[in-house]
Amino acid sequence: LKTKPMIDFIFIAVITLFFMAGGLYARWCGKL
Amino acid sequence: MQTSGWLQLALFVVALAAITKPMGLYLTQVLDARGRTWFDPVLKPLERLTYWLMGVRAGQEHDWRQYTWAMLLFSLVSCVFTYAILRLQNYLPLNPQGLGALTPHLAFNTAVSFTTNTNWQSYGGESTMSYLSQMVALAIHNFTSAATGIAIAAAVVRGIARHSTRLLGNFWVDLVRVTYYLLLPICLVLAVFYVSQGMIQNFLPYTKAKLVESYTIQVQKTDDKGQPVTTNVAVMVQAPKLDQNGQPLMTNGVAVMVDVPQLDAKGQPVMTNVAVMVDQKVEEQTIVQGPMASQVAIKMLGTNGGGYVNANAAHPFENPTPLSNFLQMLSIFAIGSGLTYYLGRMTKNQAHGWSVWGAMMTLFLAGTLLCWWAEAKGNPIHQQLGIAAADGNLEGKEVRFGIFNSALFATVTTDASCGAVNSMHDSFTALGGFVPLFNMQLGEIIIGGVGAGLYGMLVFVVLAVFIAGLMVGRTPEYLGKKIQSFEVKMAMLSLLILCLTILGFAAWASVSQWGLAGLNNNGPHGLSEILYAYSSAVGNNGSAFAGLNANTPWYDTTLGIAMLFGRFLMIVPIMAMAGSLAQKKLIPASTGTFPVSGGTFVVLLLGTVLLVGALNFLPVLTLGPIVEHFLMLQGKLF
Repeated sequence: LKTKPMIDFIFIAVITLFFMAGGLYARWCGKL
Repeated sequence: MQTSGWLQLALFVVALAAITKPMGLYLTQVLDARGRTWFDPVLKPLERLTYWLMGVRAGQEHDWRQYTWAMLLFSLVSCVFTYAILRLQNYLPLNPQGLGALTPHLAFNTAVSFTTNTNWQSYGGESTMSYLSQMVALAIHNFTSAATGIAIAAAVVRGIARHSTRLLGNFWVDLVRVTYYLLLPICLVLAVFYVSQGMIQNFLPYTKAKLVESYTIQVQKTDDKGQPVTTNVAVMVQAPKLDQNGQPLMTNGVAVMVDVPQLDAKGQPVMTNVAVMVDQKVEEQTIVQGPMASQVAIKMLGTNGGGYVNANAAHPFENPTPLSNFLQMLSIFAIGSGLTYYLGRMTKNQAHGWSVWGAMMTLFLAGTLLCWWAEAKGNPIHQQLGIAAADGNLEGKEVRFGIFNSALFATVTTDASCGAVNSMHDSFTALGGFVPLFNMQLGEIIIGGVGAGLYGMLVFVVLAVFIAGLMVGRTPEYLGKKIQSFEVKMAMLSLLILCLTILGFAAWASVSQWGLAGLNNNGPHGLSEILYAYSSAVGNNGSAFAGLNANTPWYDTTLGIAMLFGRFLMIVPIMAMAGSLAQKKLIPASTGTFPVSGGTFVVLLLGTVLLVGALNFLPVLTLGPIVEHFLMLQGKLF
């Protein structure tokens, strides 16, 4: 495996943050 | 447009109408936690065991926020799981070809693609994915992403059908029941049927076959260290060929073009480095093997669309016969069509369910006929070159299926959010290619992706009812519920996300070096390729105008983000709308209540879809396929 741990970390962080932000987005939608 | 095509179209519509009610009735049982099916004796213990293992309290329902949060959490975990498998596939079993790990950006794109039910593929399946990746990373998502879409649709329908409650069902129960009772049994039957048609299903290494007649290809020359060898050459551009008088030479009204060196400001030739190519004799063919039938069954039924092989359903293994082709198209629409019946059943207004189905079928027939007509009419420039006009545009089409079945498949796969292809959409005529592009930009609400099509169409239903209310000066009502500002805000938010994400990313790529570098065609067709890619990603379709090379860090990443936006940022406001509708009290129907069934409603709904949904894209479509069509008529291709 040609490991690129930093890039892997960034992509996993992007995925995780997106879904976490989805929860905040749902809360914002509920307040509109 | 041959008679056989008309007969096949009629057969397809009749078959779809025939399965809609049984599928809808079955969905009613599956989507009821206490519903009964024929599979209860076998699957009920498995269902209970699954809840026990997952710690799910099956009797406890969720409000819209809890339901949405459960869906987001499940998608997060499954997406990261897939990313890990793809990055580690060379260490994992069931990899007889010894295929390497995917690059990080390709793994990100693919993990997101399958989590969102898009199945956009920036890779060729047979040359990239191990059997384990195909089955564990990809096929599982084909089940769970489809089940997620159906679960969301069920929650939205419950929001419409219920009143004075906050509860919309239990996401985990819906996910498990749809997977166990609906998708797995049908896929088991379909997979066995596909094997009977000649589709492969094995774990064998790829077969090597010696060619009867060898041929030569050009490959990039490499040095001793394996690095590509390049050389410096002049950049050539096309210019009109001039006659003795210095006038452009014309043939049939078209200027004859020749290659000439491009000059810089000083009149010197512009030079560039290009790869040195060498001839390579090919004497063997590699024939793909693997667990294909099981993957294709769910790929179509779950409107996922990701091909086991790069040629997708144009490959004779992946679509062996006319019957398999017909069944694959029918299975793309089967669940989405049944969900319209489920809507009618749950809201106790079956005429409403059939009216929504009727609106969808009107758009489906319009798209199919336009695409078929454009492809059957063909390209006049081909005809000037002596290619028989009667054959239509056969470029990029599998001759086993011909013009009609290619046009029908292209329409079905983009009406739904499937994205499987049995012909290459990039090779369609401008108007033929316009149809799949436009279908995706409408939000894939014509039958649509499993679940996603229905909840997308219900957004338009809410807007249609709202517009009707504005026109007659009454508070809009939908099935006994008042439609108020919150519902309209949520409906518009989901539509704005669709068009802003498509247009925003397409505009960015169209003016960026990284975006233009992926193009194989210039002019309006190049714009269509970029637009198609982002429409496909945001619409969670997955088909492509494959002249675009999208397996680059920028395209993989931006398309991945577009897929996430197109799936989840649209679901959240739609769930909020459903949650709000569920809490409302029922108002008795009066003489002023706008009926949500019948011809007037269907026309209003179609008008809303076309005016509210489609007008957003008219300017960019004019710059892409529409201008390309008129330029084709003038003899110019891209």
